[in-house]
Amino acid sequence: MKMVSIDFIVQQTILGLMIGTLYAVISIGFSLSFGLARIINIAHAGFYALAAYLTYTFMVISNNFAFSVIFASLIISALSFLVERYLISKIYGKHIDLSLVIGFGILFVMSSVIKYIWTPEPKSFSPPPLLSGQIFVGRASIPVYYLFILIASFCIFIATWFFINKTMIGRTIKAGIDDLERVILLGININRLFTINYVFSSFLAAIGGALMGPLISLHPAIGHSTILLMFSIVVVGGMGSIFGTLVAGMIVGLSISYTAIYNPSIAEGMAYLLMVIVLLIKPEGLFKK
Amino acid sequence: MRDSEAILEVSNLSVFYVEAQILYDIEVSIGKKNRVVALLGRNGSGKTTLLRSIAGVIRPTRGKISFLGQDITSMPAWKRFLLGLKYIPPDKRVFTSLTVYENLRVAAYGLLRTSNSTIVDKEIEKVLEIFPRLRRLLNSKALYLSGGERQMLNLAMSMMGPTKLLMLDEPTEGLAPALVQFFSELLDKIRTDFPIFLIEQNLPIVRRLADSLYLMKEGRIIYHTDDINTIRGGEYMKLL
Amino acid sequence: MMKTSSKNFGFLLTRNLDLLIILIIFLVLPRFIPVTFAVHILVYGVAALAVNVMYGYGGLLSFGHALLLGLGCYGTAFALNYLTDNIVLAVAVGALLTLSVGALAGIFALRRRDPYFSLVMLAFNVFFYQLWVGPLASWTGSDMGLFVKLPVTLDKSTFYHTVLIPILAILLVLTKIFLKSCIGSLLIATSENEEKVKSIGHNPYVIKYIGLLFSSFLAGLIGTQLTLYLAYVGIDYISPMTNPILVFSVLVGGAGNIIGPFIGSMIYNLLNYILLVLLGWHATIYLEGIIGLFLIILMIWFRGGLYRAIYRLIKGYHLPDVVR
Repeated sequence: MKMVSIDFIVQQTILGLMIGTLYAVISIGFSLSFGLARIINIAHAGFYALAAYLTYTFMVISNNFAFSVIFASLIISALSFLVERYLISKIYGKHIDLSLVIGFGILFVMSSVIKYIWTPEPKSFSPPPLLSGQIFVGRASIPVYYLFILIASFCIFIATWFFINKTMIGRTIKAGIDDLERVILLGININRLFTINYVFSSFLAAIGGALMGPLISLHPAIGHSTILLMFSIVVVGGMGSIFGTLVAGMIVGLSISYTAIYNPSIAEGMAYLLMVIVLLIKPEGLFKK
Repeated sequence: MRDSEAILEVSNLSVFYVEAQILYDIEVSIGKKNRVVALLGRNGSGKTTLLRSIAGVIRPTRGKISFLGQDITSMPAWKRFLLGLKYIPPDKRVFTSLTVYENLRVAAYGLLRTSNSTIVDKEIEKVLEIFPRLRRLLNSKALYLSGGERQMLNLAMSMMGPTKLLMLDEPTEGLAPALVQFFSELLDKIRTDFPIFLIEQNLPIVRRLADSLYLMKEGRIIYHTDDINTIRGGEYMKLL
Repeated sequence: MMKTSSKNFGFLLTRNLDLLIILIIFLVLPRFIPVTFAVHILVYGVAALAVNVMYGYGGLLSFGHALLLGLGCYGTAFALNYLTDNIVLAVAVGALLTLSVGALAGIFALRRRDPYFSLVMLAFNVFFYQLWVGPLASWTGSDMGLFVKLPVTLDKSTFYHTVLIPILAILLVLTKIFLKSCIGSLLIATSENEEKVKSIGHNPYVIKYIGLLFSSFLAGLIGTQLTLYLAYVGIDYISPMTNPILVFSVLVGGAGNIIGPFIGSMIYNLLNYILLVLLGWHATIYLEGIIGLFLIILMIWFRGGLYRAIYRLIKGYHLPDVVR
């Protein structure tokens, strides 16, 4: 067994938690779309990828991180509104496979658009100077950006929790996840509800993508590689459960980062192994809604 | 009866499920002079399908539905309930992950089109008068309510906002006798406010409350009367 | 109902016209296009058919069948390179490897309802793909692929006509038999109304599982043939990125019938070819986007695929809807 220092473990823990909570933020929308509208929103991964690329471009132009992240997320949200109104809404209530296929269709188109606008060559950008550098926890050096993401993700989660549980729209979404037809019978315009849910979900995916940008090398298929991870988190956490998604995200993140200590090449596979195990033992997820 | 007093007019309604026909040319008319209209029939005769079609949750293949003189056949379901047409589904359906209070607030959000606390709380107070038992359950999650309490909440939710026609689908099914009595008396009280279109398997309630009757068999209306006294109890059982 | 006693040749012919059309097309194809191209259309067609068995008849859309195709390819490659000189044995190894993994995947994928099936199959695909390019890279050759030691050198065209076409015919017949058999009908029934099937005493899980096993067999077996033809196996065949091709083929060509997947495979390969020839190698990166557009348009406007639309045009009425 490889001897690992405590510092390394601390590093990997923070890394795992960070990546896990960020992925949880990205996955929440995926879970909400399924819970309410019963669609597997693969396009979600496309919004994530586009947001990362947009943030890259805005950073190149303006070198202002806050502006880049927010503006990219707003643009993606607007795009998601159009996608929902003109494409996704056509398949509500139909067989769930349709949503899967149309989602992949949208993802592929977005991927090709990315290839066209940004070329397939990998791109990368760094976090702003304010968030760069390392800080030391004991003898472990943790990039400042990691901590920023950890804090930012938690804040986003709290805000999301607030939205879902303390606003009328949020409560209506919760009610719709419980019993969609009963919500219709109360005079609620579910088309509007679906749209709000979709745009909100996509906004979260976009922020996730924007924040993820500096951490990865951007290439047109970053969306594709997110799909399974999102799915894993949602399977482990349970569809429709916000808290479950957060915890599942952390579990998945940590399992990846700890596995990477021993063998980086199968680290991601660990996430899928976890999903498979959960499917075997408790198929409805650890935190069933 | 086709007069301007009609509240609900259903004509020629046919509903298919894939290739199977569930409803055949249904004609229903409910007017101001009706108080409680009972819809009887065996299981599977299409009663719930009929109500769900009127509610808009099922799309009919043929036919016309008009409510308060307005053609609602192609109106989206959620809009119909804002006109005062109410459908309370069977199985005591409530939102289990929300508290009773939140359930009512969501109902108000939909049926009253507002989240203004003052208006909403006033309306909630009104339904709590009708269902006092819910008062001390306001902060409990609906998940933990008993069957009877759920049904109360189920009704309370849909009764928010103005009601012009109340469609009830087996409201006393699975309830203890005391609760059946409660609901029976409740319906008796509110029948003066608006007509009630009622699916019930509990014949004593029908006998006590209903003044009009539709009988359904295998997707068709086989008998209709606006004066329930014209037919004796045993006779409609025979027709079924 | 037709009298089953009248099993004369003419009757068999009309009932199996679709199989005949497929075989004739593939027999004739090498006259117009390079044999290797025809082989790819054939292989992807059968793989898409495997997807279709689960989707068009079983109601479950797999996003991971590339795994099964790839395992058939690699299984045979490994056998010939590391284990044996016997081609039949190598094919058997490939088929067995595919069946075992398919059986394993089925345990997890069929546990929950439809959407989980699609993504669990994908998860398995990705998992194995990562094994292939990661820890097992030295055996699998990773992205470079593996050259396969064939004990006998086979002329491509001869192989195509004397081995591939007959195997295609056998697989097609087996598929027809499977779909018309007890299990096949039960599979269709399960996709339409699982509760009903349960109520007559059958176990839907077992039915779907058997369907998946047969589907795995189809994909795996054609994979073995591909390796024999190419004397090479490449990472693309087991890559998750191949799944959209298969799904596209099924959806475009038409689910719920046997000829559809082959039409779809032809269209895909044609598209690929057009892009390659007309616009050059660099344009093929946009193939993904075109497929995406197709998928979107298909889902919104054409629900039954091209085969169904053409059938309707010719015959003037709808094909009976098996499902979707």
